[in-house]
Amino acid sequence: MKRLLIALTFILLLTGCWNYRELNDYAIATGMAIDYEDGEYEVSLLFTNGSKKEDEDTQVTVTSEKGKTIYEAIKNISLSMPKEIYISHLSVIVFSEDMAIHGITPALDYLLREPQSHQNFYLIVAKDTKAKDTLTILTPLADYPSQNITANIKITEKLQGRITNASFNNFVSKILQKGVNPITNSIIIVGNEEEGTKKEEQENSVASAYTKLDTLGLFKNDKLIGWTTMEESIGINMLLGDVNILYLNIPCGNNNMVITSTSYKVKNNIDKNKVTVNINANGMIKEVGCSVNLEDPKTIKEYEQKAEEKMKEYIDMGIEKAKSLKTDIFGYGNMIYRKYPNYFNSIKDWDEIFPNLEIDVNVEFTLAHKGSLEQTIGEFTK
Amino acid sequence: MRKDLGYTALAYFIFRSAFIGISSVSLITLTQQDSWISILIAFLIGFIPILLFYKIANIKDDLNILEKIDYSFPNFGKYLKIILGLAIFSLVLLNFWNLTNLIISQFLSNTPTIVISISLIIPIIYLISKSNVVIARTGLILFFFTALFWILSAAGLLNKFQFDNLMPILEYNPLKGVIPYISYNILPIFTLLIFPNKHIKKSLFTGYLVAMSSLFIVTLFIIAVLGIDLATIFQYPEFHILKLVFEGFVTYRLENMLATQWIFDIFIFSSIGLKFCNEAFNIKRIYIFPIILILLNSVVFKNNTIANKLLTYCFPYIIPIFLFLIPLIIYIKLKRKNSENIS
Repeated sequence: MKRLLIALTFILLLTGCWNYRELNDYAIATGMAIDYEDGEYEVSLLFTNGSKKEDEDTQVTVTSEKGKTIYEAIKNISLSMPKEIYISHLSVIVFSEDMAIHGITPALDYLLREPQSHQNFYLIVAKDTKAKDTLTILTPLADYPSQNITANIKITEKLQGRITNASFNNFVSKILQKGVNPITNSIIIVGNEEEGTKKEEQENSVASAYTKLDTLGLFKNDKLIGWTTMEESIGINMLLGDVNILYLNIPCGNNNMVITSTSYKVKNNIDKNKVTVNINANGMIKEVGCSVNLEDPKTIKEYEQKAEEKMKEYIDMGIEKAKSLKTDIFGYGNMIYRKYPNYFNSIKDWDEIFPNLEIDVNVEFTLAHKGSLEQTIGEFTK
Repeated sequence: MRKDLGYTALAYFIFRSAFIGISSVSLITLTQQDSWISILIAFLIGFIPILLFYKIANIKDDLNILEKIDYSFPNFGKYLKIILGLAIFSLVLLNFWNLTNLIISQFLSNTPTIVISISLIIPIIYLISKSNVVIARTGLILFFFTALFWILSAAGLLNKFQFDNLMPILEYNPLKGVIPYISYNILPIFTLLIFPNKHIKKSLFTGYLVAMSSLFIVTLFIIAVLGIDLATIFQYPEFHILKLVFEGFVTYRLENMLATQWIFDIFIFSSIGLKFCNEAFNIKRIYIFPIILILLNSVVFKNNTIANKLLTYCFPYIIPIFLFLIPLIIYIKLKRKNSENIS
C-alpha cells in the first residue's frame, strides 16, 4: 500500500505534465522593435508561427502596442493575441533613433531580467525610419525579416570591416564597464517601404524595398550621441580589432586598386596619458583598374605604403569622431583602469579626459598576395 | 565499486553545494574580480578544517560522528547532536531555498514553490531511505554526469576566455571573501562524517582537491568570460555563463542541461544533510524533516534582497561556530577519551 502511494505520487508529480504548453499555444517572437514617442514605448514583435491559411498570407506577423514601460507594451500586445508571447527565440532587437537617444536602459533591464530572454541576439538602431518598419520588409532571400537582419549582420561582420559585433552581452558589458562606451550598427530602409511589406516581394526579382546595414552609432552610456560616416566606421573597427576582412580603394592612375586584408592584428601599449596602437596586417590585391607593374617590388612597396596611409587616414577619422563626441568607444579608459586602477579611479570623468589622450597609431601592411594574376592586364598588353 | 570513490563523489557535491547563488554571489559582491584569489587563499586555509575532520575521522574510525559524540560526551551528547542537527538543517534549508529559487527564477517561473519543493523532496526522501552504499553509488553516478557537463561547459567557453577581464589584480581585498567561501564551501563537509569514518578518510582530501579546482576554474570563467560587471548584476552568473557555451558553434541552448550539475550538488547535500538530521534527532520517520523543510522553504526569507544581505554579511560568520568550533571541541574530547581508554 505504502509503495503504491509513493508510486502514485511519482506518477502525479513527475510526469512532466505540470504547467505544460503545446507549441501551438505560443506566439514565437523572433524580432523586437522599440520606438519611443511622446514618453511612451511602442514595442513591435515579429511572430513567425502565425497560422498560414492561404497562399497570399505571409508567414510573419508584426504586432505593435504602446505602453509606459516595455513590459506594459508587450502585455498590451498580448491583449490582441490568441497565444502566449514567447520571446526566447528573439534574434534581433531594433531600436529607433529616438529610443536610442532617449536611452535604452529600460529595454536592456527588461531583457536581462526576464528569464525567458535568452540574451543571444543582436542590437541595432534604425536610422531615418521607424524601428517597427524594419521588421516588416520582406525579402526573397530570407523567410523572415528578423532572420534577414541577423544573417546580414553575421555575414557582413565576417566579410567587411564596416560592421561591429553588437551582440547584446557585448553591448551591455560595455555600458557597465569603466572607461568604455558601446557602439552599434545601424539599419536603413531603401526603396518603397509600403511595397516592401507585401508577400509578392518574396517572389519579385527586383525588390521594391530592402533593409541595408549602414554606419555605426556611437553611444555615451546607454544614449546614442552620434553617427559615423562609412570611413569613420572602418577606422573605428580597425582600432577595435573588429576586422575580419578589410577592403581599401587605393588610387591608381585614373582608377583604383582594391586591396583586402587577409590577416589583421592590433596590439595596444597602454600608458597613463598615451596609447600606442600597433596594427599589423597582411593583404592581397583584389582588383586593379590601372596599368602598373606588379612584378616590380618597388610597385608593391609603393602600394603597401599607400594602403598604410589609407588605413591611418580612416583610423584618424574614427579617433577624431570619437574625441569630438567625447566618448571612449575604443575602451582605452578601461585598459588604463586595468593597468593603473588607482590612477584611473582618481579621474572624475574619463570622457572629459579622453579627447586629450594621445593615441599614436603605427600601421604595417604587407601586400603578400596578388590573387590569381601575377601581372595586371594593362601591363601585359603594353 | 571502490567505496571511497562513491564517498569522494559525495564530498565533491557537498563542497560545491552552496556555491551557485550563495558563496559565488558573496565572493563577487565582496571581492569583485579578485574572487579567484579569495578562493586560492580559502583553499589553503581550508586545509585546517579538512585536517580537523580527517583527524576526527581517524579516531575510532568504525563509528560515525554521532556515535563518536555519544562516545565522548556520554552525558550531554544528545544535546550536542541536537545543536549540530539544527545547524545542519539550517544549512540544508538555505541550500534548498536557493535551489527552488534558482528553478523558479530561471526555469519554471509560473510553477508554485510548493510543487517544485515536493518534486525535489521525493527523490531526496527515497535516497535517504536507502543504505550508505546506495547513497554513495548514486553520488558516483551523478558525478559522472556532472563531470561531463563541467568539461563540456569549460570546453565550450574556452574561446570566450579573456584574461583582460581578470585585471586589475588586488584592487579589492581578497581576504574579505575568504570567510564566506570557507563557511559555505568547506565547512559543510562536516556532514560527510555521518558515514562510518573509515570509508571517508581518503575521500575528504580527494573530494576537496577536485571540488576546489572545479570551483576555482568556474570562478575564473565567470569573471573572464562575462566580465566582473556583468557577473555582478546577475543573480546566478554561473547559470548565465552557460548560455554562452558553444554559442554559435556546434549547438546552443545547452544551459538547461548543463545547469543540472548545480542541481545535483544541492540535491546530494540536501540528502546527506537530512540524513544527518534524522540520525542526530534519532528520528525513524524519515519524511518528518523533509516536510518541515518544505514548509519552512516558502517562508524562510521574505525576499531575495533580505536573503542576499543575510547570506553575504551574517551567515558566513555564524556557520564556523557550529561547523568548526564544535567539531574542534568534539575532536579534543574524543582524543582525550580515546587516550584514556587506551591507557
